[in-house]
Amino acid sequence: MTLRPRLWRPLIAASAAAAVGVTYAGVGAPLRPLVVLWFLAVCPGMALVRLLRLRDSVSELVLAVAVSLSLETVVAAIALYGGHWSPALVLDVVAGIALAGAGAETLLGREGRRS
Amino acid sequence: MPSRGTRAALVLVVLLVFAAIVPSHQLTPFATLSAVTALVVFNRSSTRALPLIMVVAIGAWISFMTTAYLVGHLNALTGHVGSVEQNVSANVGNRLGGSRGHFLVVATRLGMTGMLWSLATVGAVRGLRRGSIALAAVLLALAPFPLILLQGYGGEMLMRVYLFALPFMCFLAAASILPRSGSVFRTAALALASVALAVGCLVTRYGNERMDMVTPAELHAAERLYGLAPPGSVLFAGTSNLAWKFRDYDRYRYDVVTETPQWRRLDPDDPDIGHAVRLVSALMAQAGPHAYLIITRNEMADADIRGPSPPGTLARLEQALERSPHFAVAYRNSEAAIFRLRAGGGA
Repeated sequence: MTLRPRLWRPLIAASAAAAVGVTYAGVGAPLRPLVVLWFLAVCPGMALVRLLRLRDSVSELVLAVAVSLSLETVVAAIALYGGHWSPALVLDVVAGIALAGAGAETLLGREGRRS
Repeated sequence: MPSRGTRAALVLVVLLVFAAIVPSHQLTPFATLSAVTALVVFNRSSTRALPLIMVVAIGAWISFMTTAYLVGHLNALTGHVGSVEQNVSANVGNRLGGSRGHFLVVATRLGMTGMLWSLATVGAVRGLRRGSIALAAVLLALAPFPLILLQGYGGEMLMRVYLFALPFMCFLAAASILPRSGSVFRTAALALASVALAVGCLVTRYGNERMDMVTPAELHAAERLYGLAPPGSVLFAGTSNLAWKFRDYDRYRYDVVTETPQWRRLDPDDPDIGHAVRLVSALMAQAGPHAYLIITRNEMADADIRGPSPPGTLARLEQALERSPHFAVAYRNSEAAIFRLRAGGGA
């Protein structure tokens, strides 16, 4: 997915807000599954993987998907064993991690050094 | 070469992925461990501590989170370690049964697997000799095979090994027939292999479609089953091949008539249907006042295709139950029926 590097941060933030928004607003299919699936499949992992400053965008995307799914599994498992599992809570936590990752990238000022 | 910091972060990514794998599935952590160990042993990974960390993670999970299950099932998990012949038999020999059509499907699956692995072997040998294939691809293709030593996995281990190895086997198989420019022989081999795979795939994927398919009527019957049966009920089916267990899983008990020891004592070549009706009646009476039996079209297809009773046995049982004064039809549509015992109907 060849996306201009500087577009990822706003896209991740907008996707997190949209995923949480459509979930709590009770928006139905097909919009909600499309928005939430896009966010969960790519965005949390991409927010963290971009901190690694990989040069290969294909590797970055592959890692982003793997990290996203892993992160959600780990968060869901912790919530489950902690007795607080709910889809909305897991989504909230993952959205928070995605926003924190995007924010960290901004703070570290790494965007300008990426080619 | 990535920087030291990036490499450390990538190891953390691997550990995060592994942390998700460990609680998610009982077999995948061992397949991952085997693959990573192979890479480390053959010097294809510089992160030499990774297998050890993975062993610790698996051990921690087993020690702290699975003890309740292990207490009663340790022998089932470890009893077949090293029993290669028994494990292979459970994965191959025991599947070669049932109707002639089913035998053809299973034989085609085994043939396709053999063909793919043979092509992959040719691709690996040729690629390694020429230096055009990385050793890591071969190691990852072979890494799942030691799992077959552990246990039969309910007759599914070979299939799991096949699936874990599949991406790398496909890569190596493709390498064996990928035509180089101007090679007529390789181009013809590629065309032939593609046709064989395309045609074979129809049989291997859809050969058992009669029993794999779930129709809307069958699904509706299963939904009606949960509407009829209050929580705490015992739900019976003719075979385990149906769409159920999708609602309030922990609030129902499940049993399969043809998998009970009593059913296995029936004559496999010519089961006495009258005796089978009494057997079902006894099972349901023993289960309590809220017991239901569902028989669907794809259960019958399963029984006909995979046996062990002769084709038509489950259909005859359904007809006999319908005629029996001890059973009432609680629901019926064109492809499924739900039975319950009448009051005082237990054998």
